[in-house]
Formats: sequence, structure tokens, C-alpha cells
Amino acid sequence: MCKCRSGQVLILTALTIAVLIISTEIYLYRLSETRVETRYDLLCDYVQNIRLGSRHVMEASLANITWGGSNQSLSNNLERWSSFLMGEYCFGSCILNSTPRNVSPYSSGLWIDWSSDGRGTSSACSLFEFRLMGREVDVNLTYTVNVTTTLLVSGSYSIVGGEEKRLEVWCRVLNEGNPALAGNITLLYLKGGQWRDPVGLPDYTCMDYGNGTYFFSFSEVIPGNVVTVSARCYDRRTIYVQAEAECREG
Amino acid sequence: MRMLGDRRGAVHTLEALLAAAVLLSSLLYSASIPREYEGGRTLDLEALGLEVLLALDGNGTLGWLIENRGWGSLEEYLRAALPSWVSFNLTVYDELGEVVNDHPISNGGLVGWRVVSVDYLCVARSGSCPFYRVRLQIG
Repeated sequence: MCKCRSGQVLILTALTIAVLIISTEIYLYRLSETRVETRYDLLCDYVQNIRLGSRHVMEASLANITWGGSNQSLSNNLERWSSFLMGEYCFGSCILNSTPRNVSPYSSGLWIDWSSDGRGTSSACSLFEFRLMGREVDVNLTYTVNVTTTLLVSGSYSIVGGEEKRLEVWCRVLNEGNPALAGNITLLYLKGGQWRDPVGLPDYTCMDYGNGTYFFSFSEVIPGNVVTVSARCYDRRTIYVQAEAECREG
Repeated sequence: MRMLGDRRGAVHTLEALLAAAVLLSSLLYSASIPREYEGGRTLDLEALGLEVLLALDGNGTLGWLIENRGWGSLEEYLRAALPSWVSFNLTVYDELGEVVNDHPISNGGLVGWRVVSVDYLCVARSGSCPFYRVRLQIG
């Protein structure tokens, strides 16, 4: 009796093993569907996209203003950006409100100071409030975007003979306080009430250290105890900044 | 008696063959079940597309290429950044929804059993601060 049923037991065991194999495969397949987590990743990338776009709006506006554009272009571009996002419905409806900083030294989100103390600043700052509402998401995010290009100028001279002086000038370019490369940098010196370019002078030297530091040296006959130099530069984001400094013997 | 014993052996052989067939067919069927492809790779493609565009736009290169109509360079960048098994097609729209790229930015047309599309909003860092919608379809 037992021997007769051994074949049936064999088939039943095989069926059980088959069911186990298939259910394990289906379980693993379901486990690999990390739909919720990936959607969260996509949402993070989307928010990152909005933040990066806001930064680029600020950079483009500041570049435009420092090249002579209207100060209104910052608020106009921010309004356009908010309107552009209103038409978005990727994860839900988007609302982006921007408030340009109005606390000193900023005015309407801008701080442009190209003074003669060896430091020039071109800066824009704004607060953003982002709201994303959809069936599956509800995001409230507040972030600040600060775009600042700073130029630091310092230098000194040594007497070569008579009124002839050898000038050594250091310029440093900073983006948000960190060293940054300049797209272009020019140094001028004041002689006889006029700004002059030293590029044509015989011993003119310009060194780019590759870390946002630039060194200039040249010799020129300049009367007086103080030599005023002016550096003018735009960074890789095409934001313009300039700074003046007084060089003394040292 | 001897005839009966022979038949019993034949039945056992048939039962063993049936059991083996059941096991083999279950193994073959389970092998055909995709482990990650359905959910995993499709959604990975969306994330991959967005991350490639984010990386390209991080320093403003994407906006610069669009502003300068550098479609060839944009295509080369995508070819380098995306895996070789991914096919892509990129379309750039301006603020009014008009297509900006005058020739296709693609690595030979969309191929694959599943195609996804990701939209990316790009701000060009130029004087008029134009906005673009970049649609990347990948398969």
C-alpha cells in the first residue's frame, strides 16, 4: 500500500517545490519594484531643478545689471520664473514666491559696491518660498539664493629710480566667498588723471595661479607717493565687478 | 506475478518523469519572470535622465549650449553621459512651447520595449534670461 503511493507522494513533493520556486520568484519581483522610493528620488531631483533654475535666474539678472542693465531686471526675471512654474504640473501645481532681500547693504535684492578700498562686490540675494501640491505630494520649501562675486585688490611698489616705480598688484576673485576663476581680468593704473593699461609696458607681467589669484607687475614713471590701480573683471558666470586700491611703497 | 512487477516499475518511471517535468517547467517559468526590469530599470531611466540634465545644468552648460544652438555638442554630451544601452531623443521648447532645436538630438531613434520621458526646466544665464523646457525621452 505504501509502496503503491510513493509515486503520488513524489509528484506532490515536486508540485510543492514548484509552487515554492514560483512564489519566491514573484516575491523577489515585487520586492524589486521600489516605486515609492524612486518616485521620491524623482521628486528630489525635480525640487533640485527648481532651486538650480532660481539660482540661474539670479546669476543671469546680476550679470545683466552689472553690465549696465536695469535694476528692475532682477524682479522682472523672478516674476517671469514664477509665472513659468505656474504652468508646470509634473508632480502637482507649483507656486514659487520670491522676496528680494531689502536689509542693508541690500536694496531690492541687490548690493553692488565697487569702492576704492580694494574690495569690489556684486551681489544679489533673494528668499524663495516654494509650494508643490499634488495628489501624492505636498512640499513646502523655503530657501535663500545668494549670488556674490567679490574682487579683492592689494598692491605695493618699490622705487626703481627717480619717479619710476615697480608695481606689484594681487587680485583675488571670489564666488560666494570661495576662490573662483575669472572669465577675464584687466588691471589699469591712474596716471595724470587718466586710467592707463599697462599691457604695453616692456616689463609687464601677468600671472594666473589657477586658483582665482592673479598677480600683476610692471614698471612705470608715475609721480606721487600713491599709485591708484583698478582691477576690472567678470567671472565665469559673466558677472562683472571692479575694485580700486591704493598702492604705497612697501 | 512477474508481469505485474514489470508494470509497477513502468508506472514508477512515468511518475518520476512527471515529477521531473513539473519541476523543470516551474524552473523554466520562474526564469522568465523579470527580477528588476519592469519596475527597477524603467524608473531608473527617469532618475538617470533627470540626473544627467541636472549635472549638465549645474554650471550653466545646458543653458549655454541651448543659447548657442550647440546641438552637436549637446548630443555628444548625452552620448557620453548615458549608458550605451540607452537610446535617447531630446527636444528643447521655448517659453511659448515652440520647438527650438532645428534638427534631432538623438543617438539614432528611440529603441526599447519601454520608453520614458522626463521634463527639465532650464534657465539660460544670458542677458534676457530665457527659459526652456527640455524633454528627454529615453528607452
